[in-house]
Amino acid sequence: MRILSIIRKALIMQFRDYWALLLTILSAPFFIFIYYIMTGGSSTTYSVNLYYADKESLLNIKSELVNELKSVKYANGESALNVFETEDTAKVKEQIKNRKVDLLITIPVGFADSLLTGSTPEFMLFGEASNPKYSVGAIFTVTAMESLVKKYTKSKPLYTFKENFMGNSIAKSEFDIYAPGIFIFSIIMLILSASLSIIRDIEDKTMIRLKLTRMTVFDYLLGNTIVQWLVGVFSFGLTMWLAILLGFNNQGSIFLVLLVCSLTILSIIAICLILVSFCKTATMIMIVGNFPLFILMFFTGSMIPLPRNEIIKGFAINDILPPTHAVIALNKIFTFGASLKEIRYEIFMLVILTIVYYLTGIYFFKREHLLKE
Amino acid sequence: MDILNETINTSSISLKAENLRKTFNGFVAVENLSLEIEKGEIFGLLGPNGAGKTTTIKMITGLLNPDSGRVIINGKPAEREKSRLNVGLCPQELVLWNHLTCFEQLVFIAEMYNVRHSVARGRATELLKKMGLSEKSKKLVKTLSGGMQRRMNLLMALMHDPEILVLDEPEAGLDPQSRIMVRDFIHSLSKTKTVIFTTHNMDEADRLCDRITIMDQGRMLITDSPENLKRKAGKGDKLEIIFSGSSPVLHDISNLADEVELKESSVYFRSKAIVDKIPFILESLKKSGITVTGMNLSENSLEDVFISLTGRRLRE
Repeated sequence: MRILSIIRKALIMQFRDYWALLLTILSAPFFIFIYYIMTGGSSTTYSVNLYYADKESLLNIKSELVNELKSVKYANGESALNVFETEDTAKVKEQIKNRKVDLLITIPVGFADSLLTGSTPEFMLFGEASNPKYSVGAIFTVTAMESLVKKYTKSKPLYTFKENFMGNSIAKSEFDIYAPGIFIFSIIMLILSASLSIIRDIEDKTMIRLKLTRMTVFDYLLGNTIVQWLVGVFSFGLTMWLAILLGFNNQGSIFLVLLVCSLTILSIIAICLILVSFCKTATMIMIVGNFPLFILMFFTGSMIPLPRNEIIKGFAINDILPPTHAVIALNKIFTFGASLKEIRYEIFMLVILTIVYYLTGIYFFKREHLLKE
Repeated sequence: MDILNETINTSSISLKAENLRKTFNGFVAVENLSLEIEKGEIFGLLGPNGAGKTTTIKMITGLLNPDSGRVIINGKPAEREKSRLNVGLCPQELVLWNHLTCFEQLVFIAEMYNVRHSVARGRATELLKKMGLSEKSKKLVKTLSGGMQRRMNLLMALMHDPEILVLDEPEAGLDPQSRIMVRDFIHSLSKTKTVIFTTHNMDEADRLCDRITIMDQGRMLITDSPENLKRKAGKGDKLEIIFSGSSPVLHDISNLADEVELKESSVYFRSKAIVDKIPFILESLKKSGITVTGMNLSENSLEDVFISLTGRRLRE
């Protein structure tokens, strides 16, 4: 009865105080849309500029080289390299600095002759080592060059290998790769609406009235948690629906996706409780709340891929953040169609972390806001 | 003895506070405060800012734990949750949900006390009508005027039908019309409820209260009915006698009252229960050959009592 009243009141107030709600539920879909526009919804391509200086040689392989570079393709048939010919290397080097071009390949005078005489041909690559696209672009470029060199020198390859892509990762576009992180981001954004919905009772002192009633901490937190869970599920669903509309590939079970989503929502609400315990006003939430928001955005792999530095065996520092496990679980579900058994570790960690954060949150919330002075 | 299960035999006493003490970081906010408030009584707590009124109210309602002493509600120690539920609080500041309508928040707060939804709806409708807010029933509280919000603040304390109503400066910020409405409303409540309220408005306290306690610096200075307070404390009633012709000699009349002030055509006498002394004063003036042409009497006010007990020094 009391819980139903709290749910009804929290829902009404959530909709009437709609700015925080809009920010929470629309941020992630907006990010999905921006990502889609940035990636074009297709696989990543690497911009390669070719400067062919060996123009006087009897053997002109320039067009063959261009075709070879263009023939490096993904499994879905899309070219990996976007090849441009250039005569102005200085301009291209400037573009590399501005990251408008990923790498420059220059073919020096005598390159073709080396192929004919069997001596080792030389060529040069220019790129910015700190640009992550350079490394991958360089591998694709060298693969194409090797293929061309083998063709003319008739040399046997030093080794052969066959790539085996796991799950449906071969069919993944860059958009597909980043989308699960943004799905989790849609839940992380709850940190604002959930914290604000609770802090209003502190700031407006309505908590004083509630403290005098029969309402228990359990009633209050369960009622508010259910409402924020609904907001989180809606936000997540909206983000995923938009992503699917824009071509996102989902292999896995929707039930498992919802399970991960639900647990992550609960863990974020638990983090909100801790945050609210140390704030007294909505303004403080908007200022102090940025700290956990940014930590959860940037150190869980939801927005940017993270290196994994284990401080003790099997445990990295970001493992204490629930969304870290949620991002991994969603990637497994979307890419490998993972079963519950295959994500049991992530589910286990989400459950444990949610319980730990909730208990911590309840302790501090009671101490700071609910107990008598 | 288990203090929580103790029942104190105080059948006509609605609320009893025994030796309450509260300190904040060494500052004594309330010291050794004891009260007994009878059922159906309207009891006023008066005092300058910082006197300890709000702290006392918070201890009575259970929002603050006293350092020592205890509160007994209807014969039961107030540590018991059920005892506290008999109390309704209208805090000094507006404590309302700005994004709920008047009706919604009245029903919501009632449901937090386990009042059934249908009963809560009926009670909300009735109270809104009594407070002249029926037309605002579906309006968000934040859209109401300050006076209307004050009235809503008061109604919120009544939705669970408590036996004891505690009002912390309920008339603050109200226009005269609203103040009269709230005063009549509080008066009507006293038939069925015990009302405890704090105020700075002496006139309001004088009109409404059956008994008043004046507090200062955390201590209770005096408790009595407004009439008795005015009779017992303060400098007393003020009598102005207007005369014509020759002026009396101050020395001859200075023993007629506690304070005597002679002016060009009038003389002021101030003393407790001066009404009883009027014939004697007039007789004395007549004997002195003074021709009395007029007379004005101002009764000792509660404000006079208050100032005489607490002084004129500003507290904040």
